[in-house]
Amino acid sequence: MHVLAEKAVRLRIDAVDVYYGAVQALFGVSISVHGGEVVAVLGGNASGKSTTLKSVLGLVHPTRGEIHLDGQRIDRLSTPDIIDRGVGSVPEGRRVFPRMSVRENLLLGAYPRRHDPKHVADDLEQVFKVFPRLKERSQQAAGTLSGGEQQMLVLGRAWLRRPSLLCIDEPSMGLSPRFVDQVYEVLAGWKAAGLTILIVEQNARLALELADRAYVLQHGHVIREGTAAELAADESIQRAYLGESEVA
Amino acid sequence: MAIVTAAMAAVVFAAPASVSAADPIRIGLFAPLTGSVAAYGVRFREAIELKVGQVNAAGGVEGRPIEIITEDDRNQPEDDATIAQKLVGTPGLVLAIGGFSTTASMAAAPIFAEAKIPQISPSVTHPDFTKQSPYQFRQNNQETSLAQTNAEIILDKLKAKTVVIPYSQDDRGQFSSAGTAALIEKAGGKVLLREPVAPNSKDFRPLVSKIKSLKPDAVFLDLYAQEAAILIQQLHQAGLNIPAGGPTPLTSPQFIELAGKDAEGVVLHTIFFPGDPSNKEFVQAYAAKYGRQPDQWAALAYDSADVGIEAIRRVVKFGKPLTGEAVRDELDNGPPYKGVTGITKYDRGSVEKKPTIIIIHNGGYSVL
Amino acid sequence: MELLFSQILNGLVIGQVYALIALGFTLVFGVANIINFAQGALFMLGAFLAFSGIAWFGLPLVPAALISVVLVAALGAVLERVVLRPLSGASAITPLLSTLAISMILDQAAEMIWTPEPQSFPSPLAESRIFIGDAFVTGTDAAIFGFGLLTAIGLMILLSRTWLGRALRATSEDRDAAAQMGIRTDSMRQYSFALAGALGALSGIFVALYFQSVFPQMGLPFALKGFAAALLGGLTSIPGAVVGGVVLGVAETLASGYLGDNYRDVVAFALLLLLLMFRPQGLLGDHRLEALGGASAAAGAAPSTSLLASAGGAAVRQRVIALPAWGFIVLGAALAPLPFLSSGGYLLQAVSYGLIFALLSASVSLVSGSIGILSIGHSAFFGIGAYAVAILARFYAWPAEASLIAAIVITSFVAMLAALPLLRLSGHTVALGTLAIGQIGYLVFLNWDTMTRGPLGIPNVPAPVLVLFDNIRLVRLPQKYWLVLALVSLGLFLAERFVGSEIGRVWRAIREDRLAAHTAGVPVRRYILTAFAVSGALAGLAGGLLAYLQTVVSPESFTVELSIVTVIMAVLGGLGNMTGAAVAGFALTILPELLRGFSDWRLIVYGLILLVVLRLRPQGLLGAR
Repeated sequence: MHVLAEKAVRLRIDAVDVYYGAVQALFGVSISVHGGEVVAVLGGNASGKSTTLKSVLGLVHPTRGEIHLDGQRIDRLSTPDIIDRGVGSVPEGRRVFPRMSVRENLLLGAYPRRHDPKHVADDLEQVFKVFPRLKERSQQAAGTLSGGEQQMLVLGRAWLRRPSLLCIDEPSMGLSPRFVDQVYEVLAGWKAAGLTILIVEQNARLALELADRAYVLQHGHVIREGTAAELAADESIQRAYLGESEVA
Repeated sequence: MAIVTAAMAAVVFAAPASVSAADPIRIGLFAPLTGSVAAYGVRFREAIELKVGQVNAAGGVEGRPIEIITEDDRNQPEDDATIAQKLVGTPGLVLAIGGFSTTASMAAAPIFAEAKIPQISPSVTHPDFTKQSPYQFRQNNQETSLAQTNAEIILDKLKAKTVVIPYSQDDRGQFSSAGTAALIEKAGGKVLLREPVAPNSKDFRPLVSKIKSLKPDAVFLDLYAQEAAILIQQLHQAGLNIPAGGPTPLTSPQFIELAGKDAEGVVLHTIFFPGDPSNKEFVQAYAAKYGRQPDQWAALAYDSADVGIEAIRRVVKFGKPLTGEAVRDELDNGPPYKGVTGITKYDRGSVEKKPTIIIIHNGGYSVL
Repeated sequence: MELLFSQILNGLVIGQVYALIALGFTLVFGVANIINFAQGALFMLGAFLAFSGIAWFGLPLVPAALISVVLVAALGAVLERVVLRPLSGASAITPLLSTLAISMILDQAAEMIWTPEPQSFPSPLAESRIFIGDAFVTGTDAAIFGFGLLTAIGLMILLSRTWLGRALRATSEDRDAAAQMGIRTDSMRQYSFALAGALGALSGIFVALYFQSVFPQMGLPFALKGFAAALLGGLTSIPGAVVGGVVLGVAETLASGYLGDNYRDVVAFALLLLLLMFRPQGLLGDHRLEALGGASAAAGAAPSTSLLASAGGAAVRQRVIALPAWGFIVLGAALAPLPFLSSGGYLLQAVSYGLIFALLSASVSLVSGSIGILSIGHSAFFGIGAYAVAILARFYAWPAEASLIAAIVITSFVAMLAALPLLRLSGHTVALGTLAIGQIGYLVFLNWDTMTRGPLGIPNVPAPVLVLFDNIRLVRLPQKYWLVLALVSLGLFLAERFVGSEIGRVWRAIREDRLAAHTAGVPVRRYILTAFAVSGALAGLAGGLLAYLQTVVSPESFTVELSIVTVIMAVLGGLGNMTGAAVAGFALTILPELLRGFSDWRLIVYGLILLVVLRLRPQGLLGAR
């Protein structure tokens, strides 16, 4: 990728170890994300890819190694502090607030911008334009939406953060192929608009179509990294992660 | 682990050894000092400490000071049994005063009986208590005789033909209200409602509405001070200003404090009347030490201590070995003793004291 | 008709008070997922601080009330920060018990500061009243109603229209996701405790005005009603708390008016159990969310049905220290010579009680730990055993063997019956369900005069007679001690055998994931009922022994306080760990005796010890199984 050299490193994960109790989940994982870039983290179940994202978001704290965002160390910060630095999150399993209305869910995305109600209101209208289904159901409890609609909701919610770095955890999980395509359509649009994205995905084929670069994790180690095109062409990757069974 | 704990406990629970003649004479007191009925236990403790202080200041019993061993039973029977064991194991202890309720006192009774230590309950009114063994004594009248006076108040003083009797749902209230109701019915009166008020129950509005719909001539508040105060206030709020009477627990000044002017005109009976000139010395000493008027519970505890100490004094004076058994015999056979609650002369552990009927007037009491 | 009208009016007023207390619970439960037992103590403090403002500093009512509300709100926030936040990684049960310890300390402190006695709290509004026929409304009622309604509406506006409210609700629904929105969830918890404290103080002041008196013991009874109201409403629903409070108030007022005041609480708690049976999500709970696992899943709890599940999901298990089953027999034999070692009865009496509570604690630990249904109602089972023995031994002269077996069988059966309404419940709801069972048990002991002699209790329970051993009468304390020791050892031996058996493993599987167990073909209901049957049998035996040891059985021995103490024992020992339960039961029974030297400070020291132990060993002294 020719533009890489000019763009500054936004996020740098540096030789990070993470433990759950006595179990080590990450072993010296290093990943970097440049401005305007989409980076995918691939891997099977329990490969450590979600843990990597959680460590960026401050949901787990590394015992060794450092994480820097825009040059500042964030691995000791709490999740809200990290969000305050411009990070947006699309959590794994969607995690809508089930008893709150669709509109309230969206607004919560803009929580760090709550002191700027005018722009939030404008952005909300914008989201409703992109996702007319959400507008129709804006007063409905989010828990009553279908899985696909909920995924749209969390994407809209994350966008209302107006993040400078968006972390996305398994957006295709549990969705029917029709919705998966829709999700990636939206993400591609954001990429085109210049949003920096770190995405964790089990569905490697889709992720590699979207991403600029990617890392492959196995048992908590980074086993491969490279441009999306390189990895997509790699036979061993194809065999391990691009099988159709993964899509289901 | 359990063995270690047990061994540790053994050290703590072990009784100190021998007693000599200069050692203090010990009296046990067990009563609720924490929890919902703590107010009564605290009255006990205050009065007994006052009495013992007076005795010790005057040289004790033949030169030996009295020491009080005070234990909080929270009015829980399981605490009472353990405390009783602790007290009977205390060297030099020859008398126990307590507990407050019938069940608390009864849980301790067999242990005192077995250890041959006399037990005086200042407050228990249930007839069964003194039937436990020759070692149980009471200071209060039995419920059967209190019911007589209750009925007298309702029929003669309140001049009521129909009455409602809300009663506290405990051993005292149940026995008292049943006895009173039976006497009223026997005398041709009518008890329109006799209803238990559950422990911790404080909202009497439903009861008030019900009483109002029954249109009784009078109400007899067979309750404790706080409940009675709330009920009489709510009755008056409901516009029901019928004559009201109450049993001995309401002679606590607390009732007047809590009910304020709603307490005016309530007719009560007591065996301790603070206005009685012969009680002046006790009332003044108590007020000086604790800053409040003594109530009947304090008076009963004061007399319990006094009767007990006098019995101990006689044992020592007659040169008999000072044992619980000797003290019991002196309690049982001693001469009539005039205290602040009337005359104590034990008949199988029980007393029969003359009640005074009083009315609440201008925030105080006057004899009716 | 007029009477009915005035009774409904009465119910609405007291119901509004319940609603205010329920709102406090709902808020804290919703946001922090903690059942805050200290709410009752905060309620009491609110009333007393306002009282002090008026009586000591001569303030008028309104400023005194305001200051009190602010102070209690601050105290709520401080308690969250100092006592509860450090426990946020532990299982849900630990903070629950910490709030219990806090309320113990606050209640006792209040007795020391303000004396245990009720004091007058005059209401300036009591004089003004309006009659509607025979019914009437006082100024106080109007104030309670008006303020109550205003508070509820204000709270709803706060929660639905403001950023703070949205953040509070988001935190309540999904803590982790809320943090990923940038919400400082710790602060939200703190706000919820402060708000709950303010609501508690406010309702305390209203109650003081209503009864025109304050008393340090006012916390618990009203807290229980507040729980019931919150649960009726659906536990996490704000309008539900209000509706629950009012329904409860009206129902119990009607019960009191038409059945008798002694039926008031029976009806209140029976209503609660009935509702839980047919509508576990509460009156206004959201049925549509049942598919997601009900209110608890919606509140972001772990998929497990048990309170024992760690909130963080990754807590390190402590090492479990447990005796094998035969160890209890050995231990029993080792303690047998005690009467020869001690001269007085004090030690023997205290140790006997300690043993009985060791067994009771194991019984609680069995359902609370192994099957994961936290029981705050075991006082009822304990009482049934005690009454069975007292009645059979005294009025029917049954020998000890027969009456104890009867106590075991009856209690076991009742425990199974009592478990029926609990089968569909999980998490916190089931714990509150057991609380209702405990209350109903106490009220039955108190009111079933013909069977239990009601408040008179049953004194003079005769000494146990062993018909199999030549009709020997165990009159003396050492003899009773040996009887207690032998049967408690046997009971603990059997309990440990159950827990260690295949049945015990299935119990724990159900605790970990009821749905998975069900899907795997385990007859979940039958196993839960079995657990209650075994636990009931142990509690019945403990109760029967108590009757023989104490010789007096009366309702005040079987109150909710006892249930609370036994849960504390079970948790401190390590839930599901019979050895731990026995040791903690024994130690916590002896501990107050050892603390007698502290006199008034006794319960405060006890509470502090609890807090420290919970902080240091959240999984119990000997580790949970």
